[in-house]
Amino acid sequence: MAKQFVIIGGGIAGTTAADQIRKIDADASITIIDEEFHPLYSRILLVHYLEEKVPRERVFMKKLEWYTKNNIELMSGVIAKAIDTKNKFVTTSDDRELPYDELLITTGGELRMIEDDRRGIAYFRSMDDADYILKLVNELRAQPKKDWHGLIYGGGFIAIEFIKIFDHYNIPMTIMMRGDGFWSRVLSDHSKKVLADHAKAGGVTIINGVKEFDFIGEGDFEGVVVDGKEIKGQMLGVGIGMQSKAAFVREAGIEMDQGIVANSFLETSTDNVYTAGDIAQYEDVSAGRSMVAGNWMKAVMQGRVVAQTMTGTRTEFELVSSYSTHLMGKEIVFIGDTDRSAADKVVQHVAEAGDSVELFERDGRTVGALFIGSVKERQAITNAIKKSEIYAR
Amino acid sequence: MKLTIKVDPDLCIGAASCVTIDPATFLLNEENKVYVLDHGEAPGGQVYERVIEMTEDEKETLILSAQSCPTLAIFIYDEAGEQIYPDM
Ligand SMILES: Cc1cc2nc3c(=O)[nH]c(=O)nc-3n(C[C@H](O)[C@H](O)[C@H](O)COP(=O)(O)OP(=O)(O)OC[C@H]3O[C@@H](n4cnc5c(N)ncnc54)[C@H](O)[C@@H]3O)c2cc1C
Ligand code: SF4
Repeated sequence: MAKQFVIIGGGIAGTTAADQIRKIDADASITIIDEEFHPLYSRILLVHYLEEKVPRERVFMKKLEWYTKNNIELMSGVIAKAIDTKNKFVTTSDDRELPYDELLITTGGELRMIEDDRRGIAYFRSMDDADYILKLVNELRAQPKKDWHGLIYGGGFIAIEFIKIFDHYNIPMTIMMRGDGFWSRVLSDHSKKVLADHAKAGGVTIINGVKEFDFIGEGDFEGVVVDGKEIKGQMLGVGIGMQSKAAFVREAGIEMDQGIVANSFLETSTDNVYTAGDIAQYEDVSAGRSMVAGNWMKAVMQGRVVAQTMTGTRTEFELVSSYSTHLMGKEIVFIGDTDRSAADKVVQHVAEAGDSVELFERDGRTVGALFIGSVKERQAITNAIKKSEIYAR
Repeated sequence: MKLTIKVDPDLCIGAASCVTIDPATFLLNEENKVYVLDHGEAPGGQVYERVIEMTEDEKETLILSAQSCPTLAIFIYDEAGEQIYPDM
């Protein structure tokens, strides 16, 4: 009988795995369960769509025909609610019970949210979020120009995406950060200063140390009150990080910590259950420890590798992954393991006025690096990390 | 076969998935954009477009690397000028 592969989560990790499984096994039954109502699209292109660089349809990476052509069943708008790992089936929100031989969980991260959910507050994870942001931006721009003001809460990747959007539409903005700068727990003081200076030069107002704030009024979003001071604005973009709760996975008895725990082959604690992408807490061979990392490249490569293992060719995952973005034109690149608390030593390798390079070292080797501004040494440092060497400074 | 490979530098964000999968064809420059190589070489310097003679296996790797690009910045055309990726 044809083997039954069930994949929970139709993002890039799950879809890449489905594609690879189909290439390896022409007869397999492959089902993807995905909460969203869209075929695969690139979350990274969403901001390009909002910046009017590409039309909305260009954000999609697969058409529905692709799934049909490859005989992959896509259950859109369906949530996986429970897993019975003993009898090997998944229960879905439309009350189906899907039996599996091999199960892959690629549900990605979940957004951290603030308590209030009034109209005008936006998050940024999905195509639907992007459509909503565009709607709010258009409403804002319908106001007299002198009143335009966009607010942002957070200081990480998603906050930076909101800066790009407001910047594109020339909307004056204020960013409220919980810590003392961008990525307050990851970056050195110098790196934070380079970014803050660059943002300020671009006209961004930054308020640090905002642990909490109130809202003006009771209805739609009109602004916030920070330390007793009112800041008016038409919308609030929230980007305060991701978490990996996946309660239904934990309830199924599959080991979870900061993500779904897996070995370097992406096998979980439970037989025939695998994980990949942002939700996976995997044994990273090049970092030499168990870690979670949310980036596109890793999700793609793990999707490919896990498909091998699931179809019988056990393959170890090994990659020095990276995440690139930019703040108003200033390049920002994170490579490998940039968890400050897990490093023995962090070296400020470059500390120029507009540039910063930090090297993360552990057990006598370079395990990660981050670049702000100049990325000249990116390839050389990546090579050193790959070879488990210390980058010769 | 001869393939034309083009990178749109406005779309490329330097995510480097393509470099990881097909290092013989893509390399990052100092602006954090990838340029196109011909089997690891860059005759004529760092260019965003090249016509390259490739085997079927090499083409497979190239397509995989283009598919991994989160911004769909890599375009591939066959000898007749037909776009083979992105095909959707
Ligand atoms: C706005 C934005 C910008 C980004 N920019 C960059 C960037 O510049 N560079 C970079 O490297 N990375 C970037 N990322 C991160 C990158 O998009 C992710 O690392 C990548 O999408 C992870 O893929 P994944 O398949 O693991 O998870 P996801 O893409 O999150 O896909 C998971 C899917 O599972 C579904 N799902 C969840 N739970 C269930 C359930 N119970 N049942 C059914 N379906 C479920 C979700 O709806 C989702 O569709 C960005 C992300 C966002 C949101
Ligand atoms: S994968 Fe795409 S965005 Fe990333 S470096 Fe290659 S072309 Fe550029």
